[in-house]
Amino acid sequence: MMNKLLTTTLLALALATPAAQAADASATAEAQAKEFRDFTYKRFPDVKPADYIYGAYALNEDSRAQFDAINEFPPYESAIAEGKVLWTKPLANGKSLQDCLGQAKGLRAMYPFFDDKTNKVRILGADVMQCAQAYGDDKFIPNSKEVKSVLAYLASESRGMKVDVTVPNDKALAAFEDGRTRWFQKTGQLNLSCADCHSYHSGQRLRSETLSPAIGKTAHFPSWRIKDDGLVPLQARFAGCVRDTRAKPYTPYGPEFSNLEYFLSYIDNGLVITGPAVRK
Amino acid sequence: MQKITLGTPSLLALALLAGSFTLSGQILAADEKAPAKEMSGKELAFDASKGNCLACHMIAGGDQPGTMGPPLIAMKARYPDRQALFEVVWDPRKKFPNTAMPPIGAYGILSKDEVNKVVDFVHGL
Ligand code: HEC
Ligand code: HEC
Repeated sequence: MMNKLLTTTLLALALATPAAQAADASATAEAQAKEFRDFTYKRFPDVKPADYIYGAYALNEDSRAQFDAINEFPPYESAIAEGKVLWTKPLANGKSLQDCLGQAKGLRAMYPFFDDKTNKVRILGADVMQCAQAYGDDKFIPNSKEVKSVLAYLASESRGMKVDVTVPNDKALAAFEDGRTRWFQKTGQLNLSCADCHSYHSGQRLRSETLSPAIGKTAHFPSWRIKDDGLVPLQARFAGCVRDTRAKPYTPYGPEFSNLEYFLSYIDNGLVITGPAVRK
Repeated sequence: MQKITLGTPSLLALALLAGSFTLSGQILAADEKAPAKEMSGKELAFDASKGNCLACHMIAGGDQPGTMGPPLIAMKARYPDRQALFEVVWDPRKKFPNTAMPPIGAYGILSKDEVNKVVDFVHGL
């Protein structure tokens, strides 16, 4: 690994062509991700890497039993069915989301990604809303029932596939690094960062809630939260946690949360997509 | 030195001065609940919208304590000097750089009066 990194870096210096630059960006991202993941692997030596998809429930057998129990009767099936109908339903201009975004199968597994035309991270929920709006529908807004159901349906159509996010060039690396910065940045009157709760104190409890680890934050979204009796898109979850620090959350699908989603999704590379999944 | 980030104390102070709560529902909720009767140090330490120490620390008499911070026990033995304990609660970053513990006094989570009451309570644990 170290060797590979070194070779790539030397190559990049020697050639300084765009291709070498791209290799450098992806090697840099991978080295940062390795360091980030290793922190959590060392903290929980008994947790199998693939089990991080279970969040806080990965951390001990009791809570895994609890997790299996709450997932026995999936409460999200009707939301998936509604999303499926919405996917092919003609919108105001007669065209459907499927006409805009393509086949549902495997679509979720292609997101998030770095778009070199706009030089921005593309988020599935944002693209769904953009398509709906372009096709004359005004109901698809962040956290609407429509967006949540479509996201649940699309997640279900990528179940079993693996997270595979790439950092193809220097601008993508900048977005990745910005996402990483958000993770470590303290916010709000309580002056807490994501890392405070989910890296440095993961596995410990905030009141009665066990803090989930920093790996496995993305692959099961949208999640069905029993507490809210409904679906929660990933960025809505981010917003909830930022609000808990007594700060005003970043704009949904704005650059900060999108870069954070990009970074955390890269961290989850190799994990199985399981959304929607149930959480307390 | 503090960079302007979300909800930094300066922004918070502005919001408070203006008498409008632009930051978060939680602050609003905390303030609306402002009790008529004075809260004791123990109540301030346990209340989720006040000190909320129980969220992170085991404290005798508190239900469902968190474990992010160390149990608050034998505090007089560990902090013979009450002022040293006050300093930690007021701004724990001085003793524990990059700590997860919020700057209770420095960020105005509790007033000076309230911090003093909490410190008296904690010192007796
Ligand atoms: C004050 C502590 C705290 C902070 C700060 C915090 N979180 Fe959380 N977070 C929690 C708690 C408690 C839960 C619910 C238990 C769990 O699953 O970890 C949670 C849950 C989550 C979940 C859902 C986990 C799952 O398995 O479904 C995600 C994703 C998440 N947080 C991301 C973040 C991000 C990103 C940040 C920073 C922007 C952040 N959190 C900051 C306390 C915090
Ligand atoms: C969000 C979590 C959190 C909250 C809320 C919190 N603390 Fe802490 N506290 C910590 C952590 C973590 C430490 C350990 C310091 C370190 O090494 O980072 C700590 C350390 C302390 C210490 C020093 C203990 C020692 O062994 O030296 C005292 C005293 C303390 N806290 C009191 C309080 C009081 C009183 C409150 C409420 C007014 C409070 N804390 C609220 C997380 C918290």
